[in-house]
Amino acid sequence: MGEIVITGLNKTYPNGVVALQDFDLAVADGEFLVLVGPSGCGKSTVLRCVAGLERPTSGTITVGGRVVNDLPPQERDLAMVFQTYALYPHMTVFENLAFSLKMRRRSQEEIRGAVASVAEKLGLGQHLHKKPRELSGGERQRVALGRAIVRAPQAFLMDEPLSNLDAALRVQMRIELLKLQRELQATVLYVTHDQTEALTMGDRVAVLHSGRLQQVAPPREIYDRPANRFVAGFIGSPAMNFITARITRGENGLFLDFGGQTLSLPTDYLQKRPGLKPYQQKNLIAGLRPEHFIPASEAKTAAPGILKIRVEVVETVGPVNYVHFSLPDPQSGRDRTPFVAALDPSVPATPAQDLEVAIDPDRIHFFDPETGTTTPY
Amino acid sequence: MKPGVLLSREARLGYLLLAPALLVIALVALYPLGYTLWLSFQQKIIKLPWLHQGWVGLANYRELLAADRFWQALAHTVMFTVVSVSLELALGLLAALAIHRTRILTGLTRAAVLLPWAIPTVVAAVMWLFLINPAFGLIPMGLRLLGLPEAWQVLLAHPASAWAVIIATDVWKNTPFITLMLLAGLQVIPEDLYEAAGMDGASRWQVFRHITLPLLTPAILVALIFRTAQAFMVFGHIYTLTGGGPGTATETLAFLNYQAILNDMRFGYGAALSVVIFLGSLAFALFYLYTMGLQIKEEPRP
Repeated sequence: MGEIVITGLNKTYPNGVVALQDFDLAVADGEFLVLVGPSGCGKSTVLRCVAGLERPTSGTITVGGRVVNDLPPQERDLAMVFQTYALYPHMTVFENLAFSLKMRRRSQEEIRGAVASVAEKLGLGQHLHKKPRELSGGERQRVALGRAIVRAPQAFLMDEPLSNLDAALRVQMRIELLKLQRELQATVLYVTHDQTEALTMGDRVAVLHSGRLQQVAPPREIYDRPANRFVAGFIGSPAMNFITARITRGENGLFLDFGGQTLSLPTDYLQKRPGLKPYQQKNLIAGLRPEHFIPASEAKTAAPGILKIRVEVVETVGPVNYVHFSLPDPQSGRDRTPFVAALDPSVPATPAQDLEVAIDPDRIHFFDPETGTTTPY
Repeated sequence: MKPGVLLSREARLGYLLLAPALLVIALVALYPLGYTLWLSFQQKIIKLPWLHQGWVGLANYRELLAADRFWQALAHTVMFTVVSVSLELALGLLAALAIHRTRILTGLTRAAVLLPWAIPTVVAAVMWLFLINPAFGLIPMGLRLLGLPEAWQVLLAHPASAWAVIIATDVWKNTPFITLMLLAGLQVIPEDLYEAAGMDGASRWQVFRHITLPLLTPAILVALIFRTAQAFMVFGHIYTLTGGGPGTATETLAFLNYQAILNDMRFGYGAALSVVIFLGSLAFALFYLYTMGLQIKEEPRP
């Protein structure tokens, strides 16, 4: 297995569309790195440049220490799992799995042995004689995976490999794929638009937006310390709530004003978060995760930030209720900003009901209103 | 109501809906075919009305099989079909692959390639007649520049060069048809299969051999069946270019058929020839289906 190092990658399409700008990323040997972003952010372009299916405008790509920029896909020793699976429709499962070895003119015994071991690993034994069209979606997905692992390549490239599966199967395959990766000690560059997949699968997660890398970090850090407003809003479901806010110092302490409400902050708040000092008395963007709201009665901190809200819609999703409400936010350009709070179902909440919710001030994120970057912690 | 009754009622409706199509097929395909078959067992010579007219059994076929000219024409027809269809397939495949990869002026290239196919056979043949005219044609002029003897420049005077002209005309005119069919076939092969094969380490040739060609087989099969059936009935070029000559050197079955019916007015004998031509085309089609079609049939459709 080898590492993938991408430096200074730029890709501009002939029609002038800039797909990637100054993109740097290193996937360590044996690492499962997830590249995540909304559709059209350029994540597939990264993968296709690494694969050799597209030519970067500039930049260097090395695989296992070897510069592969001028090598065709055949000579890069990478395996790719396609979103559509791209199984060869006229070949049986066995022939699909054997194809890459056959192209490398391996012996019949070696091919049979390698295919048999992959088929056993993926539970495809009884399907070897079938054509792809006779298989279910999950089985096709396994064949696509098997085709990639049958010859131990330097690294694996995966382009949304689970997105065509139904929800239950996707969760199952997520686990199986991770087990397989650990077992093979494989280097994987995995592209997805699904932030849940990114958080659950990645050793590290790289967030891409509009052709620019936003942040590369382990999932926990991406969630807890998003580098900017885009990452904060993209990672997490339901998405983080954003509202214009202002930190003010009154006679009897420190306050946070937003949405027509005033939350009192602990007096040592600015000592704990010195990065906020320059923003006093100025507008900034506050970010509140839905799952960080609790009913006011359960707030334990000395100075809980209590919000008085009026419930608009309640969505039941099982473990929690998504309580929708809105707060006035004249600075954002619209009258009110929609909010979601994920509350325990034991909290009574019905539409048009008034409710008090609390949020731990330490869990509030702040972003610069101009640049969108996170204020220093 | 019993389910069986319901089913048979549905089946009856099915047949009823099928009836108009079957009727049309029967009228335009089966009736002429049946009539030709019936006619081939008759003696019907309009020029010689005093001879016996009517049922003669297999006499027409016996006469046919005994005639050297028939066997010669059959050999000519098979040779022409095999050579011209092979050339058309090879050139058509090359052109289709090239056009499929063309990224600029796609509309123009496709229209330009199709042009010869849109020209009527007789017009195309006359154009080639001008091209090979010993006095002012472009091709004899070229041969003269190459220093070939003057006798060689009269292309239609020698059996071999006459066939070369006929085949060239046919290839020129009909390659576009195969190109078009194969281009359509190429366009339905998903691009990611090529990419997957590339990632799997297949060279360009291996991709062509293991991905493109097998997935193009259905289109090749259809194109071959169409072209072969047409080539087996070749008449227009022969009639316009050589008139079957020199001597009988370029006579084909369809040309004999024309002579039997329109020169000799022997309708029964002509019908027997028609039946032989039909069987020949059928034999080619079955041969293709058995050699290539089996691979397609194997795959059950969902």
